[in-house]
Amino acid sequence: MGGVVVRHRGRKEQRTHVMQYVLLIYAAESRFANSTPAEGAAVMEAYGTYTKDLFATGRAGDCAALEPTHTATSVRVREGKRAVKDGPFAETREQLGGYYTIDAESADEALAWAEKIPGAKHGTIEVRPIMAVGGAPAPADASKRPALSKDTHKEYLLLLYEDERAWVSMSEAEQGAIFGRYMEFSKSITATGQFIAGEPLAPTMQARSISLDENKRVVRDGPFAETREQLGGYYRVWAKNLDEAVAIAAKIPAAETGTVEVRPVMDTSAYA
Amino acid sequence: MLGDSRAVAHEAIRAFVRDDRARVLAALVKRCGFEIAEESLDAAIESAVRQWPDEGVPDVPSAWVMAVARRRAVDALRHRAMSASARATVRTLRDEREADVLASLEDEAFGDDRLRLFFTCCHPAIAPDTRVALALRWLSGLSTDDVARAFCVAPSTMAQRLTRAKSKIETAGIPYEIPEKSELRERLGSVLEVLYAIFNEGYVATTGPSLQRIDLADEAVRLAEVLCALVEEHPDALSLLALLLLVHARRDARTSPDGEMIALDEQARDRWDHAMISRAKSLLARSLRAGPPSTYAIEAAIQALHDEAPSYAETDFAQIAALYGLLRAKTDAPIVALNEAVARSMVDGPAEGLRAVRALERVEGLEGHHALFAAKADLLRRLGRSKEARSAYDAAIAATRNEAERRFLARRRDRL
Repeated sequence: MGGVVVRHRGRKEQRTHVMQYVLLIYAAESRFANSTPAEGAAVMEAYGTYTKDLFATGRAGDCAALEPTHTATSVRVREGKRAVKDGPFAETREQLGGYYTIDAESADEALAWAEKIPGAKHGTIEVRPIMAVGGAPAPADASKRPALSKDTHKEYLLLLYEDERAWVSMSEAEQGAIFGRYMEFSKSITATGQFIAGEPLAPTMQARSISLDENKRVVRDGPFAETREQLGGYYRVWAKNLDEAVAIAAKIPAAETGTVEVRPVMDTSAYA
Repeated sequence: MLGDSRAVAHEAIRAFVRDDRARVLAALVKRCGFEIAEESLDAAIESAVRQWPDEGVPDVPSAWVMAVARRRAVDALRHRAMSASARATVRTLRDEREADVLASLEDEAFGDDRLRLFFTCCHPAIAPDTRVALALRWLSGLSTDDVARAFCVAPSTMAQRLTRAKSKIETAGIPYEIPEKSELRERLGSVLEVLYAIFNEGYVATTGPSLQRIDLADEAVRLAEVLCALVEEHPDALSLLALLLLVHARRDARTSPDGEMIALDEQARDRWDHAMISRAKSLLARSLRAGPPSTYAIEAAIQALHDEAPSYAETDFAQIAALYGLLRAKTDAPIVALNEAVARSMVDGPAEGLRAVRALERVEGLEGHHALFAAKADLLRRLGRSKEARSAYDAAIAATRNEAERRFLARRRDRL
């Protein structure tokens, strides 16, 4: 999976006009839970086809399907003390179920890819630029990393929720200090071989949301949901079990000011 | 004759569920995960219900159930998508020698499996209410219907909650492990909280007609005993067990034959279980020698002072108030401040007590709480201010959901 990071890093240097976007898929997970096995398999197949098409263009960075929110755990750290809670960061009518990151030359191109995601038919796709700084650490020492795999580890997505107004009102020096901490964190989980992917997201004022109504595209400005704290980035990591994933989450600076949601990544290898 | 063997079989199954179900479940979980373990164990118990009355009770019931459950688990795994890991599990289950399985059931290390079960179902990433439900289902072997009854929810609601919890444990990868030493105290704290919650639910049922639900309190005491042995008498576990026993010792004196509640000041102290009290006191002493007192140890010390007093009037309330003060410094539970004020009123007099209780009226968590109204009513009664006492009792009655407690408050009010 480290290869995914290598690929898009290399490309970015050549094509500086290309922007990166994340396509966040929000849909009612009860729909999937209540479907028959045949219906479920059809949905997975539709996603499989979409993923193949997207990756064939060489423009896709990374993607993941998430397990439902009842498997989520929220982590906060206040005054050095860790608080672990059952459940997702926020209870919403539709839930974040997965994402794709893509390179696109314009927001319109990103929207065009978002529209084709199967979930757009009944849910909402939030399209958000990825911050130019890049959360991925240098992949140079990839060969020295321990090889982690599904035999001993599970994949988790750590979703970082924070009040983005605090970020906007910070001085450049303060922002720089926080970036420093993020780089340090990224480096530490890269050294252990646990880093799979991760990106900081642009503020929600740059988000657009798209859904299909009777196959007609409905686009509006703003994120999928207005919340007091907003999704500001993510890390995808390997961890032995939930305890290790929670320990990693607690080291992320966002855990001290906001909430980190820990969600298992669905194993879709059977559909690949 | 047939009726006899039926009765014997049913008693053997009840005994298995009470004493051995958790052990066998723990051993199965280690081999094939929670979902399949529970499914196959339930199927094996159903087979026992069908077969034992006719075929007789096997010599070692837990070994019989384990063998049937293992076969069921192999069948269940074969019916699922066969991943490499599922195939490996099937091989383990199928090829393991009967003698080895038996040995592992008898083995001392076996206690570790059950301890893992304690830590997994009381994991902090599971909602607190659900931890209690899982503990009752998995550690006590209560049926889903019984657990639903304890929570006053529909069985289907409880079944769904348990299914989701199991799915979270497997999917999110909640480990089936005993925490490392550095984390043991914090994680053990979560297990003890669950046992205390089960006990408190048994002590004063939050809703419903009868004051106590002895079965739940008994269950909490039994689990605390098991846990204590499993964690080699960790001082926090010892303190909790001591606390539960010191309160549980008064169970027979707490209710009249017709189920009415009797408060501490009117209980017949010769009906207390004094053997239980002295055992609990020695457990508490052992835990106190091991290090600084936990909140459970302080609470236990308070209960021990009540249990030691020959009468309510002769209770060492000054010492009790001091212990509540110590407790208040360690927890932020507002009810502790209320208890401290009440104990202090027995030393400083009801007027001072009323002033202290009034100061707590707007505290979050106590505002509108029946215990606050009841304490206020009692202090007003002691001051002879009957009219105000009456309206405070009315407020307490309106805020109480337990019917026996409501009748008790009404009797006190009517005696004014």
